[in-house]
Amino acid sequence: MTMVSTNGPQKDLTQDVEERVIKVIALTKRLPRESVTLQSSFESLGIDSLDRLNILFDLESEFDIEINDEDAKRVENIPQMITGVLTLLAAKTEGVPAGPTGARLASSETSVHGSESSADRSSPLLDPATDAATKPASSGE
Amino acid sequence: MRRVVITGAGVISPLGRDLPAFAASLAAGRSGIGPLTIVDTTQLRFSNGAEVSNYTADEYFEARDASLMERFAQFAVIAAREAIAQAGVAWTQELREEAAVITGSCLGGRGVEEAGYWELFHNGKNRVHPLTIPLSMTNAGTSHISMAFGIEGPSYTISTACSSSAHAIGQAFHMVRSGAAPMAITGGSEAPFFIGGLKAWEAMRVISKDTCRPFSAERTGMVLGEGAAMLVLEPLETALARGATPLVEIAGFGMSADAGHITNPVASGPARAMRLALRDADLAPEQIGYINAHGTATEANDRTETAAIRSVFGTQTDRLAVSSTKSMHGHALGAAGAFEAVASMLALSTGLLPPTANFLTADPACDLDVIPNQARAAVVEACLSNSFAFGGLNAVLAFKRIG
Repeated sequence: MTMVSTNGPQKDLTQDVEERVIKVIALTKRLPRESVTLQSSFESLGIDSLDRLNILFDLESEFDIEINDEDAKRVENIPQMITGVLTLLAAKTEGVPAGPTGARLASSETSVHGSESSADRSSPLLDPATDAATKPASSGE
Repeated sequence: MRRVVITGAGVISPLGRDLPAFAASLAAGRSGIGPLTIVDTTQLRFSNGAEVSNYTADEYFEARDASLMERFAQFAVIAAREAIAQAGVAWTQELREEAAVITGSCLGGRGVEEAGYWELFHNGKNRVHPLTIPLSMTNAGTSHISMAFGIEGPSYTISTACSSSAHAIGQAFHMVRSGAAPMAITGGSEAPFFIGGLKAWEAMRVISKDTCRPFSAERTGMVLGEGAAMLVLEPLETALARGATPLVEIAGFGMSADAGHITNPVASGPARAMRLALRDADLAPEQIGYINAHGTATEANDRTETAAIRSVFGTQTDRLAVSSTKSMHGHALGAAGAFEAVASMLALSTGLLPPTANFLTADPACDLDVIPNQARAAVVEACLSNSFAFGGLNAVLAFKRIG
């Protein structure tokens, strides 16, 4: 999957989701937007298990979806993350659970073509001031 | 330095509401995990937990007394009653003034805050219940034990997440060993089943929707538990002099911090805590026959703990029995170390090692003898009990069989 740079009004859903996923990763990890590409590995971006949790949380807010634990564990790279979001969005549009793992969905009031501000508004984790209060996470305990 | 023994233990747990019931469940490999009933789980992605089933405060307390204690503090007092009764403590004014109460809890009575805050945030109420602070404070367990028995010596609470009660027992052990206190009531209590807290655990994506399967290839995470366990510690000589029965010796305690990641475990910190516990107890690795593992059934813990055990025990590892009783009593956070201290005590004193329940198939990354599903009769001289907390804070207790 590659990201084509067209800025026309007919920007398709896949491209919109790609851009928003990358935006969420960059904002959540506090990286320059241009440093995150479809080819970036989580390792190269310094994303650890706690960052992954924060990114999943922010993706759920950005797209108004619910990502279940089992699906989340299988995501190994950014293209898989985008595919997962697209699957959940498609399921939301159809009003059925996504895939055999039965990903559950939250309410479907958010537009697929959400604006830049939706992640900022709905995600307290994107506010650097709240960073220290982020719930301890991941897999140790 | 005094030798320190346990002369009484009390438990209120998902495996039964007293020590004999707890012991019987461990011996039978019976899990206390099931569908949660005390909270509405429709908002949650998981629905299982290990509850103290059919618990009602009025079975244990006058209504007025119960109203002053959040569930976790009630559990603390109930477990302390049983421990003190079993130890047959003969209170004197001097003993009351010098005995210590040191408990562990992760969340304390935080559950009580929710209802009041909901009214404040949503229903236009401008006040919360006046007991919100005394009910919710994490030291309430210690305070109510102190008040219930008139114990006036050094009393405090340790909150180090999942190591809380192991740290508490270790501190109590230090105080009795050094002579700073002639006796200590110590252990931990927890009541984590309230919706906000459960949502927070859910967000960490470490809670199993299934059950708790430590060290199993099929493990899918931890299952929360609740309850309390308390111990009476005193010097061996004092116990024998007053005709009490020492149940097990606490021989050593090791602590370490990973100084690494706030949630990701590493093997080196836990390994160092185990080595320090062995050294403190003056025990060689070959004297240890059993380890009650931290064993949360998360992907990372079980793999990392296995590596830590292998690094400490080397070639001895293959003759070690290791089990996680969290498979039965769940992960009771700040009470976990206390449940597991009691399980360790029972393993040595009864000669029956508790199993890892719910075990399906072995994970090559967890190549330990985990006593799958069935308790095992074995006379073991000494054992360790591991507790590792988020934040990288590790506490390991070493126990020795009496006689």
